[in-house]
Amino acid sequence: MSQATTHAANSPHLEPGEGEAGTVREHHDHHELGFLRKWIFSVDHKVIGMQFLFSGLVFLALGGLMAMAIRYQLAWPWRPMPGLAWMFPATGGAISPEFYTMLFTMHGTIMIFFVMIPLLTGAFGNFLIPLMIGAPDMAFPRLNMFGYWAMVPAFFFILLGFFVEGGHAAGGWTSYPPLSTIEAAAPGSLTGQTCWLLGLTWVGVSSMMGAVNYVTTIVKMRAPGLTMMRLPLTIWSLMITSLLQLFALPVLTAASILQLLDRTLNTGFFTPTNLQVNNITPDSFLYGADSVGAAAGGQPLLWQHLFWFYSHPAVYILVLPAMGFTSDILAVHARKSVFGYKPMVYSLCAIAGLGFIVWGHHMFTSGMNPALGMTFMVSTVMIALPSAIKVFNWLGTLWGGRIHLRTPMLFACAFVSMFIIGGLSGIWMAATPVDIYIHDTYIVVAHFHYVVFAGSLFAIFAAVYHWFPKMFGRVMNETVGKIHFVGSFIFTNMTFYMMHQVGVAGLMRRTADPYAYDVYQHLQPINEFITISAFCMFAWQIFFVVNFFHSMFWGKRVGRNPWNAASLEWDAPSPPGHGNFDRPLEVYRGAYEFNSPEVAEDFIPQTRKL
Amino acid sequence: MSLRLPLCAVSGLALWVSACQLDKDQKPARGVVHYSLSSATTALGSDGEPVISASAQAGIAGSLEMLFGTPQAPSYQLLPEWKDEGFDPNWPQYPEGEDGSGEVDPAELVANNQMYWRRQLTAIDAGLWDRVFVQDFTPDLLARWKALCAETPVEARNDEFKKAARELFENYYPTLAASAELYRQQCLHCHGPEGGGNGPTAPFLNPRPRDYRHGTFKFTAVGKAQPRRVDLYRILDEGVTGTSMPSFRRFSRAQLHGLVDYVRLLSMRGMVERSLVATYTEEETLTSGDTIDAYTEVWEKWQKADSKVLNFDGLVPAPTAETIAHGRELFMDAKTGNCFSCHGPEGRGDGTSAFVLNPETHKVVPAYKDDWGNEILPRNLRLGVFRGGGRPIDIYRRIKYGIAGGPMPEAASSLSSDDIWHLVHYVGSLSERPKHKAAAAHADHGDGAHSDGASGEKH
Amino acid sequence: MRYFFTLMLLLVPILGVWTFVEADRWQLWFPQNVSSFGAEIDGLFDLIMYMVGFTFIVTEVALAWFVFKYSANRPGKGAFTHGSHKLEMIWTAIPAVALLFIAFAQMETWAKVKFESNFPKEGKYTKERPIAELWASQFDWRVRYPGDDGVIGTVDDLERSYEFVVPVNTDVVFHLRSRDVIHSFFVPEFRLKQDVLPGHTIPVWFRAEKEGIYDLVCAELCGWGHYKMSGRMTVVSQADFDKRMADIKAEWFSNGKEQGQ
Repeated sequence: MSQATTHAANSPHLEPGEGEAGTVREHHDHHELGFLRKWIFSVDHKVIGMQFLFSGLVFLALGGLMAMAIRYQLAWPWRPMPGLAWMFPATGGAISPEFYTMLFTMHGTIMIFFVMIPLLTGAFGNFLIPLMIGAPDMAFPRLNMFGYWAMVPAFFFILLGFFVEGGHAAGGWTSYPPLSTIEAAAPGSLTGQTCWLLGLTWVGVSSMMGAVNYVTTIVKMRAPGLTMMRLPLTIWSLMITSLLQLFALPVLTAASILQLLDRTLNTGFFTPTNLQVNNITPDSFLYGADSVGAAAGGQPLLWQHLFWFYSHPAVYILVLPAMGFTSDILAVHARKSVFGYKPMVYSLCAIAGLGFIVWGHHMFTSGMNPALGMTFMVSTVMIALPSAIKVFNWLGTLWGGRIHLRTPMLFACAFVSMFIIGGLSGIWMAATPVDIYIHDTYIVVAHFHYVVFAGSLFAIFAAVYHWFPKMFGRVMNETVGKIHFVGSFIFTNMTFYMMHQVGVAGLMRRTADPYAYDVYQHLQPINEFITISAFCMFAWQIFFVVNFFHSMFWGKRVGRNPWNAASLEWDAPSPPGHGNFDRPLEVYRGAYEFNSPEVAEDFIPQTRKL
Repeated sequence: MSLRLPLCAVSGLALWVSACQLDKDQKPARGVVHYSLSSATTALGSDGEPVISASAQAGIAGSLEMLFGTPQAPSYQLLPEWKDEGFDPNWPQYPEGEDGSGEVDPAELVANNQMYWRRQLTAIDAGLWDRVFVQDFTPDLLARWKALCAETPVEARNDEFKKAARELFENYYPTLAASAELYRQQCLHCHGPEGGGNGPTAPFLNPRPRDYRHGTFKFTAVGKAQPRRVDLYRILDEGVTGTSMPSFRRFSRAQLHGLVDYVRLLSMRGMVERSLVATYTEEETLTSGDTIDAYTEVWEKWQKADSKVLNFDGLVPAPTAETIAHGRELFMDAKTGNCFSCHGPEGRGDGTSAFVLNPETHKVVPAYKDDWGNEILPRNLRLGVFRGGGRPIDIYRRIKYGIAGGPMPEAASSLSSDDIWHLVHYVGSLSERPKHKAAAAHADHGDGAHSDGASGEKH
Repeated sequence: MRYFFTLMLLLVPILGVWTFVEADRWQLWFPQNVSSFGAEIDGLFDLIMYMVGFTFIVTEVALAWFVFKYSANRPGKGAFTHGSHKLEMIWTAIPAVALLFIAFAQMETWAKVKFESNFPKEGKYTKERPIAELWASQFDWRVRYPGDDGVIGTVDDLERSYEFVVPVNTDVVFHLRSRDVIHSFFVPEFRLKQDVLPGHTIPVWFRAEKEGIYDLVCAELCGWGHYKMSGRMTVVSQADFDKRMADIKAEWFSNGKEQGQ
């Protein structure tokens, strides 16, 4: 507590007693907790957020290494792979094709379910929601703790899969049956797929707990005076994301349980009759009855519908919080109110609503009734509209501001720049006839990496730089941060931009060695270019790692509000103690009052009464 | 401060450019593959000691390397008598005649090369040199093309250069080393470095990839003898349907023949190894004479392949209702065809003699194993999937001469070739779709050969 | 400093547009089109490309410009505004109209390529009477032509691996079948892709307008050997097609002696 008061004194804009007019908030007793209760089995939302943050960053490194291995194979197929060559003595160090399928499957799975979702909703959701709405903690702190601890079995299963016979799941992160349900179909479908399904189910459980908690907290625990329309956009985006998770996740969980049943109890939800996979035939009484799904008569398309009914909203789960962070960071560092706050909120809702009726655009060429393709095309094209509105509003936010080009601002601007690319290239995919050609080509790869990597991950970087002072009471080094930004931005664009052209040339994704095809053989040089750029980009992240850990312990100490931001979390000490706020809060306005003519300073905190 | 960042970006770009330059000059090295001895050679006896002494194993490995080279530089050792005949199996150009490899017309090979390298040839004709891409798996051609380009600077490239360049591609035939590289990239992960069917992917395949080292190949036209070049070529060209062996027609005919060359080398190497192991087990010692004897013997077997071909003379008869009915009788007759006993009365591959009850686990297990020790099931004939090819003549050969290395026996001598054809017709009819059959019958008896199939569907 | 960051942001649209302009020269553009509907698909791609390209340039340049202009050290406070209703209406309505235009522009071509009601009904090959069945299995394409009776699934069918021969300038309908998992039929030069679903028979039509040899690619992950699953689409003249069919038939019913196998 004493530390907190010193920080309060450091802050020039928060006079003591400022929040006195508000109701007196619940006072949290401070009794010393043991190491286990404080850092491992903590119920404090900030510690849980950190847990998500650190495990997410570890998996980010793992998924990144896999991406490097994939790129290596695409540039120099069947050359001995540095670091992995020892696993393949027979081939002289070249990876085997089933290992490649495992690599991209697990790259996708880890990046989506173990990096982006935990980082966006788990880490920042947990850390920011109570702070930004002026609450002492989450509505259900214990549920929150279980939310993280449900991730532990997920980590266990997803790592276990690498060590089982046949390797990890190798059916793509989409796991289309029958490839994934029939054990004989792929080495990864032996046991790895079961680990994959269990891992995913646990991630789902964790996300559900988190989502219930976030929605309840935001609805019920806002500080007095903090109406819904005064919420920062980060909170809005996290709430919409949680609603998406609440409504979409049960479908995925159900689907993955169905697939688990197909695999273990030989039900036949997704397996048609009369398959001969890897020479095992259902009508042979010897192997048939208990290996390919005795009941069979299933429908592989059913999985695709169920999977995409979750996974398309999941794409928005991956980007909506990033949009929220960006809106906040742009406003703070441009010293400008968010342009069109209400349209921003409505467009978030529109994206979430439309997000539920566009899943079919992943299935245009799947054999689904083409008439459905028409309707899905219209809804998909229309979902570009709220995204466009958001982009225009971000530009409007910059207009007329007083921009400080600090590291978080740079990353946020880069998010806008690259989200434009990712969003616009999505229109090609939505257009059904064009999608006939570009479906499953590298345009798709370029598109979703521009949204999820260049978009969301850059927003995560921005958020880390922006809220780092609140997390640790210290700022990250500006110069190193800028160096990190420059390299990341350049190399990210060099890596992913050329994938558009490679995709237009027709290159398929998920092929271990495309160059034996006559139509693709001239693409090797450009793939080498992409690979080298990707290596440089990966290596460049060393600046982030060094900066992050160095600043954590030795960074410059700052007060409560180093960016002079107006939202509530900057009212709390840095780092906030147990219970977050050391003063009662009352909110009088929205979170983006910058450059107001009413006061001398260029911002008005939400809690200041004029 | 203001200069630091641009400087840093510039140095980052410099790093990138230098990485690119590094790549231009030297790609990552190709993997180094080693031949190892088969598990039969290195097996341990009941006493825990190797059956074949370590020194003898080293001797076998040394002999094999002397005779067949390494995966990076595979080459046959030349026998003295070959020199007199002018026979050299290492010659990189396509060998005509002699060892039974003259079955391919060189002109056909050139024509196929023209088709296969059409992109490159078009680029050469147009003088677009940077569009002449040579793939990674033709390292010898790439080296020759680079050498040719290095000789002549871009501005001096006239029609003569174009002609030379065209010839390079049109007459391409891979060296053994280049074929070994193609093998490493495309085949090794299933078939293993020494063709033992034990690559990293192999454990997940059913049936297991072929182990060449026995010298036995199932789907040939030579009965149970060593296959001819054209038999191996057909497998590469058509694939083995119903297994994980795809068709490799994506490569040029020259490259596939190169692969056949290399598979022959691996197969001979394995046979020599087995023969040396047999000699050692018998005599407890090995001499260099044994090695050369085994080598000569194996070569003779392979060179004789052509004379072993089993042909059917005459026209393939067309099926009729009567031949199919007769075929069914033979199929079900225990004395003549006796097919049902393994393939089942309905041809579903569930005949009683193909299975036994395991007394310990009380489970029904396959009764037979093939020469490689894998459990084997009779084919389900109703699927219409025939690994050795679905042509009538293919099925005829399987029935008449049996399948090398597996339990499928030769046909009883009491069956005439007409009988066998009737069996072929019956087997072919097993996978007919009833609805479609009705449609076909309708077409035959209805209003001409090309009536609307849909009307048949509706019946 | 701000010059440098502005330049970086500005390079995105500049280099981005430049790579698209130069892509064709680097051989990074569409492979040649040989199907009857391919030109329409390319046209729609271009239409969208020009529309999004315009938006791309405008928004990216605006971003760079704002970052440049408003990061300068200016005296006094910045603009104080919470938005503009009028502007919001404008930039909602205009993209909405543009997007709807894009959506409706696609429909005709989509219906033409995929709707079974639009499949050729007049020609030699129809949905009920396809030229062949294309069987996909791990990791092979096999073509099953009907024999003399013109019906697939009978004892006189001709089967051929890898190569699918079709006549030029003819509406071709064929059936896609899978033996095991999901595969996808993709010929880049035809601009045609259709997944092959196990348990389904999916009819597909196209009309190739140029003779040649084209790669047939499996476009849906089908296992470890996905990259190996290649085929060849051979488009020949009608006369050559008849000859090829006769050759295939002769080979199928040969006694194997002539070919030596």
